[in-house]
Amino acid sequence: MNAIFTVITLISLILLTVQNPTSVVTVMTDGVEKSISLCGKLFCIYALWYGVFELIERGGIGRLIAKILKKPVKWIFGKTDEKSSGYICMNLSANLLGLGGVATPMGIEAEKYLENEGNRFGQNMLFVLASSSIQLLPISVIGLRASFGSVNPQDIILPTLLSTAVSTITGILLVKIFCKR
Amino acid sequence: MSAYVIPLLVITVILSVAVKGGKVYDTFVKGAKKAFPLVLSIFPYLAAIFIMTELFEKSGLSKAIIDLSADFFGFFGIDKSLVPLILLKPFSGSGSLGILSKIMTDYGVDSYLSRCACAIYGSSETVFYVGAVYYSKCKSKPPVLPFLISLISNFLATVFACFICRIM
Repeated sequence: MNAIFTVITLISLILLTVQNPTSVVTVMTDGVEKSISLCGKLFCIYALWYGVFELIERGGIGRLIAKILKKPVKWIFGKTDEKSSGYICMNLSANLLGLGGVATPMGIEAEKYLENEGNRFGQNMLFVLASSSIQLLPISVIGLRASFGSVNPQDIILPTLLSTAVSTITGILLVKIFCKR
Repeated sequence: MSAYVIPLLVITVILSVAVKGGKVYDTFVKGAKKAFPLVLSIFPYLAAIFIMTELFEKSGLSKAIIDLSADFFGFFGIDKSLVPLILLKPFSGSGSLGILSKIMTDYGVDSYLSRCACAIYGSSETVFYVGAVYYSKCKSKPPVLPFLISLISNFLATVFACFICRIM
């Protein structure tokens, strides 16, 4: 990200300075202003959903999903140790709910245990699953659409879910074909 | 149909806590409290990204790069206005969120381009970021192959999103 930011900003700055030096400062402060307005919108979305997330964890829905996932995890990952499959289930259930913050530490632990087991296949599979987006409800996108005044913010759920399925299924199949156990 | 998903989810969630005798109000407040530090922590990233995207666009560099890659993405049925989002998504979550909100501002929230951008944003992940974090406690370096697989799967989802948003 550092390289991308530096290269794009630098080239743009030089180009803009050549074309219109007086606009440079205005353009940059405009940028910050826009980021503030987005932060305001995000704050509303997060305050609502982090409250709901806390309730999800407290009510045990997360654990319930982890339990349901046991079978599919066995099919996708093959043989894994008790400990790593536990972390995998918790990681996937959090990711399905869109709780990236909860999922990440579980994912890091799972990768570590899988490495200790010598299970390269499992390591690759978990990473591909996590980076193919398996979130069931695109909450921040729906919230953002609502704050921009969409007529029906939720009508994006189905297209997103279908596209998500495309990336996840492709990912699982490619790992099964190309990564050796 | 989809209009019922979120209300039903929230009702179920509240009930799941209430039937166990949990304190719904206290629990909700405890979670909502986390929103403030979260937004504060991503603000500097968003500020930097928006400075970059504003400069990127006003300098004409954005148009040059989009025109250069338009044929490649056009071949897959991807509109060229979505190119910046697609190129940045694997690297930065807050960066692509910034671009997504810019697309909604520029083209209107219910336009094909905005809906398509939403589906792309929601169906792909920050591959390089996830990779760096997930493998952070492993001793060996992460292999290249799964990264390639993730990028290919995400790209297919993007192509599919551009198609499905035309008919749905």
